[in-house]
Order: sequence, then C-alpha cells, then structure tokens
Amino acid sequence: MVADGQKDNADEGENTWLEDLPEGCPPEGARQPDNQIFYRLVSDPPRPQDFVSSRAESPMRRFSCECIARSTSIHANIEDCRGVTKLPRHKSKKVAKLVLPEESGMVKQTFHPSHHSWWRRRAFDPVANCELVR
Amino acid sequence: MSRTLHYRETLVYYDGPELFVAVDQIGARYLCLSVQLSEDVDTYMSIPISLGRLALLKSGNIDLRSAFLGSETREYFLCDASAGLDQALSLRPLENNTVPESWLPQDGFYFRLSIQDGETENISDEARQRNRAIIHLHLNPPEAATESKINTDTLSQCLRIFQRLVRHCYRKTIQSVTLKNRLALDSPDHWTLRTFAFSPGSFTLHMESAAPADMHGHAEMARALRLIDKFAERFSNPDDTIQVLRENRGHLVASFRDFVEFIVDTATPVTYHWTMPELTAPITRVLPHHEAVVLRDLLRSRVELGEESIVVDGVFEKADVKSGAWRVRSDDSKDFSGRLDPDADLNLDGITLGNRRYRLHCIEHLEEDRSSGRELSELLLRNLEPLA
Repeated sequence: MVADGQKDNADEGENTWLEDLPEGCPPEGARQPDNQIFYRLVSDPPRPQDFVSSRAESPMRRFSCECIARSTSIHANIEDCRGVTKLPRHKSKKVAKLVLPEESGMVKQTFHPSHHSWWRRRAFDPVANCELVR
Repeated sequence: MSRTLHYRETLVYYDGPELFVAVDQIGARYLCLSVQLSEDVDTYMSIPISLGRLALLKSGNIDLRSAFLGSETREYFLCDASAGLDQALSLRPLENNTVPESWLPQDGFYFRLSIQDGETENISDEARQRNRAIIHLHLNPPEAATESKINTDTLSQCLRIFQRLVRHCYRKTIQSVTLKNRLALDSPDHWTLRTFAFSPGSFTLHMESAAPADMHGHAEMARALRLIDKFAERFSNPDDTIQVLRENRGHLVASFRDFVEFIVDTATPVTYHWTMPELTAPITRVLPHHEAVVLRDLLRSRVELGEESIVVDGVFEKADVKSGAWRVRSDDSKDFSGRLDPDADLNLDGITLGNRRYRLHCIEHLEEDRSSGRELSELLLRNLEPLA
C-alpha cells in the first residue's frame, strides 16, 4: 500500500519525485511535513550535493532497502544531528536547519526516534530553504 | 579461525548504517563503525563487545569513543560491506592493531534511552483502565545489562527518593493556591505513589497515583509531575536547570538533588513516561547518567538552593547554652525545637526565657531515617532578633 499523496513517476511537473522511486515508495506511514523543522549535515556553505539520497551518492552500493536508499536522512532533534558529527565520516560537516513545507515531499520516522527519511519533490530547493546553525 | 559476521541491528543510521551490531559464528557480538565509504564499498571498523558493555553503551553510561578505545579484547578488525549488510561479512585484523585517530568517534557521543514500541499505547491504556495518573519508571542499572533485575537496595532507594520528590513538588505547587483550595488539595492521596506492576526490558516500574482522576480524567498528581518535567527537560543544560531550581528552592531542590545523586551513584540512567486519562499522549523525559554527573557537581556547589527557610516568632521555653538546643512556643501556640546552626556566628547566652519575644531565622534540615525511610525534620537556628 502506498502512502497518501504519493504520485507515480510520470512527469507531473512540480509533483515529480527527485529520484525514481520503487513501487510502494514512499512507504505506508510517510506523511507530508507541515513546515516542520528538521536538521541535516551539510558543507559550509550548503550545496545541492549535501541533500542527495544515499543511492544518488553511491550508485554502486548495495542497500537492504532500495526505498530507504532513495531517501535523505534528516533529524527532528538537533542534538541527535549534532551527535552524528562526532562519527568518523562526518566530523567536518555542519548542522543546517531545514523547514519543510508540504510541497517538499514526504517524511517518515525511521530507525531511532529522531531520525526521519525524506523523499524529496524535484521542485523543492533545500539549499534555499536551509540555514546553518552556528 | 577466520571470523565472519552476520548483521543484527543498526544503532545509528545516517544515509546508511553508521553503527551496527553483528554476531560471529559462535554468537559473540561485535560493534561495527563506518570509517570509510567509497563508490561501492562501506568499510567498518569492528571490535568484539560483551553484552554488558554493549548495554552500558546503549543505556548512555559510556560514550562511543570509550567503547572503541576500551576494546575488551584489545582487538580491532575491519570488514567491507560491498555486498550489503544482509550478506556475511569477513573480518580481517587491523594492521598493527593501531586505530588512526580519524577513525575514532569524538568524545561525547552518547545514546539516549527512547520509548520502546508499544509503550505509549500501554501506558495510556493503563491510565484509562485504572483511572489514575500512571508513571512508568525505566531504570537501567548495570546489573540489568543481561536480564531484567535490579539490586534490592537500588530499587528501594529509587522508590523512596522518587516518592519524596513527587511529594515535595506537589506541596510546592499548592502553596500558591488559596487557603480554602489548599486544604482540599493537601491530601497525601494526591502525592502518594503505588507500584502495581513491573515489566521486563531494563527494569520498569509501573506506578499509579493513590487518588483517582476526576470525571474529566484529571489527576492532581499531575501538578507534581509537570514540575518534575520542568527540571528534567533541561537536564542536558545544567545552568538552565539551576535557574529553574532557584525559583523553587528548599526541600524540593534537596529531593531533586538526591534523585540526581542516585542516578550518578548507582550508575542508573532513568527514563520516565507519565500520563493520565485526559491526556492524548504520554510525556517522556530522559535522564542520562553522564548528564546527571555534570548536574550533580553543579548542585553540590549550590548547597543553599536546597535550604528551606523557616521564620518563627515566639518566646523561648528552652535555651541550652552548652549544647545549643532550644525550644520555642510560637505566637500561634505551636512548638518548634532545634539547635544552633554550627556555621552561624550565634550563641544562646543571654536569651530570656518565658516572656520575651524573638524572631528566629531557621533552616529546616531533612534527614532520612534509614530504618523507617521517613524524613526527620530538624531546625537549625541561623539568626535571632528580639522583637518588641
């Protein structure tokens, strides 16, 4: 069963997903954010490459779930996001605050409570809608 | 023996599994941390880890860097997840068994306890069925690492301290209501907790308010619990917590300090959830051990916040110059007794007994009677002024 609000991958202009999503993706339970605040690790200054999915970043990598692989990790809790900067591969990154309106795509809480997977709409510009948290 | 790992659970996910637990052929657990990522290969650094140490990590008692630096077998391995985590992972020893600093996590990455699946429905159901405020108190002592158990002393200490905290918080919140309402609200049933069940997974106590909720689903104990929430939500920011405590100084602060000391001394991080029938969702607070350590040290340096000031106007009936003991009959015919505060520059020499009125500035000191668990009050006289 697909999530409410999911469209197919046909080109429908601004409703198109940023990536090709497998069938049934975004999954049941995903919802449209309502100007909710999230946090993501980015460069300084933020670049479009900071917001690509795991699949887009590593085309040859194997993932156990292709739907999750085509999402972007974001946190609802800033401390949880900051915590990731203590891990080896993310030490040089900065925390950016994102306000996600309905048209940004769909989100679902996955893994630990603050972590969410975000499936982006093509038309939404995350760089223009984020600010670094100093 | 060549070791291969099989994935068990992801502890941290960020655009891919950053940290996960796996087991080898004989069931030994390994902690695996992503250290390199190329086009198609995730390289993880792995260490064997005991159940107990893994529990300390997951409960927030040690940080991730400590977990890796303190590898119990002093062995470090690498594995590549080129075929994904659902395939077997082959371990190879790390060259020279030396971990580059760039591969180690920075200080301060602690796990926070979180709500377990089904917890919210469970506690809300209990509140409705029992028509009371319900509190689930999750304790994670070291002895609960491998099974649901807790030292008896730790359990009884926690129950006494938490009950005392609820009582002092409740009494503080009703001080501001009118006298008529205060008389109605000042019933032990509103702050008394009753433990009615336990559940496994760490060690979880199910408690309820002695008094039932009203017809709207509201339980008066919520006054106390909301005040505790105020302290607990700032737990990670000790200066903010001190500011809130300053607004509530006295026995309440002393009991909160005792709760923090309990978390530190028993290495028992605490998570609690509470609700009552009228609430749509439970409230949760997490009190990690490492944050309690910082707050404990700050509270110890602010002893005055736990002091409850008492002022008594009356006449002396007893004043022992040698021992410092005294007894006063107040203007409203109540008896108060105590002793001189050893830190005060004061003595009872020259005090007039019987018909001379004085104003006594005291600090009420509460001490727990170890045998009964009850609080015993003692007044320490700090300052004295004669009245007309």
